[in-house]
Amino acid sequence: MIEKNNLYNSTYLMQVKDLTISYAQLRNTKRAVNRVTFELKYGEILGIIGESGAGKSTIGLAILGMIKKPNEITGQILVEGEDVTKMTPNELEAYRWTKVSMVFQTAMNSLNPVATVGTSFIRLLLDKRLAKSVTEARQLAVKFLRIVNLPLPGVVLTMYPHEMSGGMKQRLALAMAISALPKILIADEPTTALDTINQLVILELIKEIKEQKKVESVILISHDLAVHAFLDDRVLVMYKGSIVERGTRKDVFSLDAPHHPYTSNLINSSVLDSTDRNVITKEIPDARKTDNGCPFSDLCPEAMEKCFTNEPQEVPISDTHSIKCFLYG
Amino acid sequence: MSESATFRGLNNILYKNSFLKAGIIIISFFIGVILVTFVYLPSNPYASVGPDFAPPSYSFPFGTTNIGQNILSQWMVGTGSTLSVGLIAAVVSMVFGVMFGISAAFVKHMDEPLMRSADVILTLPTLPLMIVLAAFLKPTEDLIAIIIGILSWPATARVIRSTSLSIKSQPYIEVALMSGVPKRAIMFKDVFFHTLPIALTYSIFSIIGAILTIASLNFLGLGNLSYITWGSMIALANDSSAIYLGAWWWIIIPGLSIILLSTGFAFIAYGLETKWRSI
Amino acid sequence: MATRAMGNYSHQERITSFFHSISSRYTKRYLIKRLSNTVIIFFVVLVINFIIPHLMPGNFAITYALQIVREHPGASFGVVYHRILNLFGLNHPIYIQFLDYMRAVISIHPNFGPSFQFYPTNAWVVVEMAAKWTLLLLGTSQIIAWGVGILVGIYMAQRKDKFFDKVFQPVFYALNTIPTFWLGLIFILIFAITLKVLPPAGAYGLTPTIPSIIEHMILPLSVLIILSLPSHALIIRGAALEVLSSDFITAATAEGLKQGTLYKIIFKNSLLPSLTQLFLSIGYLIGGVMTLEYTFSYPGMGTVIASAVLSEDYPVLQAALYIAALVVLLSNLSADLLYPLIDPRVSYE
Repeated sequence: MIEKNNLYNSTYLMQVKDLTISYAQLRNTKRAVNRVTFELKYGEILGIIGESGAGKSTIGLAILGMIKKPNEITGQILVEGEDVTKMTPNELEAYRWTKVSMVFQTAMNSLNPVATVGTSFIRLLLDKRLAKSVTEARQLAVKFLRIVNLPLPGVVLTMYPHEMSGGMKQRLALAMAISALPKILIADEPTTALDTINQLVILELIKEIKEQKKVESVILISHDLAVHAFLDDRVLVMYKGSIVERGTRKDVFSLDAPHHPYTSNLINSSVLDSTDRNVITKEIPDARKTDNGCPFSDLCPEAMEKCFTNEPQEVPISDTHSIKCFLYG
Repeated sequence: MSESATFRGLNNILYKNSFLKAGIIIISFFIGVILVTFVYLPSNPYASVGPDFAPPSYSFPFGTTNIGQNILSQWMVGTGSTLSVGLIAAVVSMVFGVMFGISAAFVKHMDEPLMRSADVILTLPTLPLMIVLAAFLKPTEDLIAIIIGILSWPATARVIRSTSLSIKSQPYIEVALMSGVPKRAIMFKDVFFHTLPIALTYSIFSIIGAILTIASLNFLGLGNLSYITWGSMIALANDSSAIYLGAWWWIIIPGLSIILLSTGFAFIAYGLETKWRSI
Repeated sequence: MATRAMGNYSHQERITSFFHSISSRYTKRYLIKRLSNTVIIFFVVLVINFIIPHLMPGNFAITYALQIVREHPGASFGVVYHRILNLFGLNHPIYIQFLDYMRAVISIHPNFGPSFQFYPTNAWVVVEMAAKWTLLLLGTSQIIAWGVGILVGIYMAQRKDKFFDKVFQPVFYALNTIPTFWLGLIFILIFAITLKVLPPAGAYGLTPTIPSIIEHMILPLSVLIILSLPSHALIIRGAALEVLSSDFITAATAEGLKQGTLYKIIFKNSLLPSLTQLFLSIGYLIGGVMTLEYTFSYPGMGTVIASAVLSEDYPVLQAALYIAALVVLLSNLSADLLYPLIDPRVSYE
């Protein structure tokens, strides 16, 4: 049985404490996530920004309990007090989708190619006991398809995945993800590989879904800053497995607030008329970087001696904003 | 420089590849047997030198046949004949396979007819066809091997074709084509050498098929029965009701040898294939 | 499927919609391509069958007549020779011969000429009777081998690199190299002669009763299953491994679907490549079955062929090749027709 963990703080929907995930590879192990700690509040949209390899998708999979041998995971992930990392397979089976669900990257073919979309959806609803009969499941599926604005839902259910466009598939995936009315919806790169219009459609849908209380909170994972600027309440900036900056949307995206050099870089690269182009990463990685130092030290233009040998602590800039850099403390 | 590079390359392939090593050991053993036959044979394989149906003993380690022939001698000779027909078939299949595979990939108007013929040949039931051909035309063992090789080119050609196609779409090939290097030169220099290792691997698979097909043909009484192969040994054993007379050695030994030889080749091919896939 | 949504429709409408949902899976282009392929290959086999006697040294009518007389000393050479000449129209130009040949062969009872051993019985009759037994062995063995093979293959894929997989992979590769006839001989040696528990020959004992038939089938069936199951299992293992590492399985796992449901999904997705393997292997297996039958004196095509080889009974050999090719073609065609029903993406190629 899962006992409520004694670190459980009931103001938070999810607490991640000291999470470390390593991938076993041929010759060595790679740390994808390095001692990450953060919380998810009720009713908020939390964004995780980072480039590929930063570890953000890994965190999403970890929240669903999908990290298994030979990859290793330590730390705690408490969802309403229950530690995901300690769940048994049966508990995981019940927990998945009903408490936390995920919308995968569009580029992924996350639908069974040999079954109609309807069969997959109905199977899901029946397995999770959201409906008791095929007819009931069908009606439920149609209802969710309407919520994501898919036209002619009855017809859509008879289609095969390869007959649908990317935008349709993504909306369908969203419909399936919210069908169990989970507490947390994780959206992993929901807009990659979609055209601009469809991108907006999906983001609007996610916003609407949260506002209509179909899901409690959303974790939005993306490398696209615009996506985050549009939706997030709070933001986590990740680099090479660590959180280097966190704050509210205003904290992180405003140009005159202090930032981690990596964040400044990100923002300046995407904002069109930025005047401050001085923050550029070094072209050749600095060889002084060690494993004990700051992960950004080899590229950081502001790197100091101690950045290479010591890892900085997170320094609070305000109530809501903190930065993990020696520049600030 | 190049010497140590090849050594390192070979070492790379052999590293942690137990299948490959085991296969090479097995094949080397049989090659060793063949080499021995050039200088020494226990006795004339055709002559009756011992008692009929004698079980394995010190003087006849593999026993004797129904007319007292030394099975060990027969087995040693059979090694050479079995291996040689296998190799002939494999070489033929590889030559045609590479030729047609690369042509299909590079010469537009040859692709469709070549692939269609490949489909046709692949669909033909090999053994019945070989039986009919062998019964009507009574070819020599070597000719049989060649025909089997001809019937096996589609499998190799298919793989070569897809490999060639993927190489063809590589940027450096496109650049070469655009800068005026004649197509034929590209086909031969770059593509050929790149596809050679894969062709080799698939030809080894065809050796196994050839050995089994020829053994089956021999068993049914086709081919030259005075030409000793392991298959013909089993055929003669069966004809002399060896199993009913308890002469298990006459049947088991050539059969196990076929299995061992084919498994050796299979291990080599499988080992090579895993290496190419991981590269 | 869409039909599930239909509630109060008449029986007739249900049947029509069922057929429609199946036929809608095929594109005209696909059907035409597959059917024309089959016809072409069939034609090629017929041509080969036609050409081969003409490749024999000398006039094959003489060879044939000589053979027949050798087998049946009572027959008169002259009579037989002229009969053969007329039957095969050998005094006509070759293209007329070919047309006659096609006409004789493309029918319910193809006429390849008389069997030499059983002159004047038609070669086709001899082969036709035997074909039933061959199909019995082939069909039963493949159903069992494939059925079990799928389970074993998926089992191995799910437990990749664990004990069972590590041990049985090389074992299966080795099993693939065993000659069918040899294993047949070994089985006879062990079970029929040494242990005396099963019969060594024939399709049935004194009378073709079902228990007797089954008893006589056990040994040859076991050989066939042992030798075809490994390759089925290995192919399915490969297919299942690809499925297991695919995105939609990750998604399905993330959905927390029950184990049984996940298994069904993996199964159906591994089905297609394994079905390919099953049907493609029939061409290869026919050879194995035939040699095996000879070993067991099982009255199938193998024994017929073997004795035809021995007595140089050419028409029977031709008829046998024809049937073998037919079986292989039909199984390939069934495979082509079955694929779109399992994987809806296929018919769009």
